[in-house]
Amino acid sequence: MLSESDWIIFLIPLILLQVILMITALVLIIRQTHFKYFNKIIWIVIVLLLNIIGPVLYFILERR
Amino acid sequence: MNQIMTLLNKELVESLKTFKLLAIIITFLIIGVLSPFIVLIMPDILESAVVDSGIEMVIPEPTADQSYMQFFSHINQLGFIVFLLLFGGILTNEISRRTLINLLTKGLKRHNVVLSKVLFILIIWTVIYFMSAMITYLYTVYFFDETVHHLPAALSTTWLYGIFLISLIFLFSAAFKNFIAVIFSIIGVVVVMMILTVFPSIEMFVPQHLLSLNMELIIGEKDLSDTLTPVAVTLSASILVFILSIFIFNKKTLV
Repeated sequence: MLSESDWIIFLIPLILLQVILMITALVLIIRQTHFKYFNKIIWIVIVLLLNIIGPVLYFILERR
Repeated sequence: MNQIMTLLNKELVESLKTFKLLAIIITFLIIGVLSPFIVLIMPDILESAVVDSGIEMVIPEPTADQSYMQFFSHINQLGFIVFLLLFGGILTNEISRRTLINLLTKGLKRHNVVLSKVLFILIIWTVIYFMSAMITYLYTVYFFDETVHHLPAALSTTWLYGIFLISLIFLFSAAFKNFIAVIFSIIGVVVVMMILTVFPSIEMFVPQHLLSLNMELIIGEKDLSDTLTPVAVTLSASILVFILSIFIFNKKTLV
C-alpha cells in the first residue's frame, strides 16, 4: 500500500515531464503558421489528448 | 576524425532544434518512473476491482522483479516505437531533402556521414536507456527490500537488442531512401524474428530471444552462461549490418 508521500514522489515527476513535453509542443504549434499536415486546431487537440505520442507525432511530422 | 566530430556536432544541434532529443529524453524518463509506479499501484487497482465484483481472491504483494518486468515491457512497447519514430529518419531525411549532396561534392566522405550518425544514435540510445533503467532501479531499491538476480546482464540484453534495431535503421535507410519503408521493413524483421523464436532449436540464434532472456535472468531461471550465444549472435549481426549499410550507402546514387 502506498502512503500519500509515496504517491507524490511518483506523481510529481510524471506530471511535470508530461507537462514540459506538452507545453513545448503547444508553444511551437501556436507560433507556427504553415502546417504540412492538418491545421493548428487539430494539432492542439492531438497534443492535448495523446500523452507522449501526440507531441512526438508533432515533432516528427512538422519539424524535421 | 575531424569530419566526424563536426558531423556529430551538427547532429546534436539538429536534434535539439527539432526537439527530438527533448522528446526522447522525456519519454524514457517517464518510462523509468512509470514502471515501478504501476507495480506499486496494481494491488490497489485490483483490490477496488475485486471489492466491486464481490469475488473473493488473494491479491499478491508486488515484488522487485515485477518492477523490472514492467520496465522491459514499457521499453519494448513504448520505448522502441518512440525511438524508431524519432530517429528512424536520421539518414533518409537528409537523402530526401538532398542536403547531403552539396557537402559530399565538397569532399565530405560518405562513410563519415554514416559513421557519425551511427555514433550519434548509439550515444543517445545508451545514455537514455541507462538513465531510464537507473531511475527504475532507484525507485525499486527504495520501495522493495529484495534483490534480483543478474540485473546488469538483464539490462544489457535489452540495450544490445536496441543496438541491433539501430543497425537495421541504417541498413534499410541506405537501401530504400524512404522513412516509411524503413519503419515497415524493421517491423517486418521483428515479426519474422518473433515467428522464429517459436522454434526452440533456433531460438538461441534469434536476437529477439534477448527480450525473453532478460526476465528469465531476473527471476533466476537462466544463468549468465545462457546469454553467451544470443549475445554473440546479436553483436556480430549488428556489426555486420552496420558494415553492410556503409557499403550500400557508398554505392548509392543520391539524386
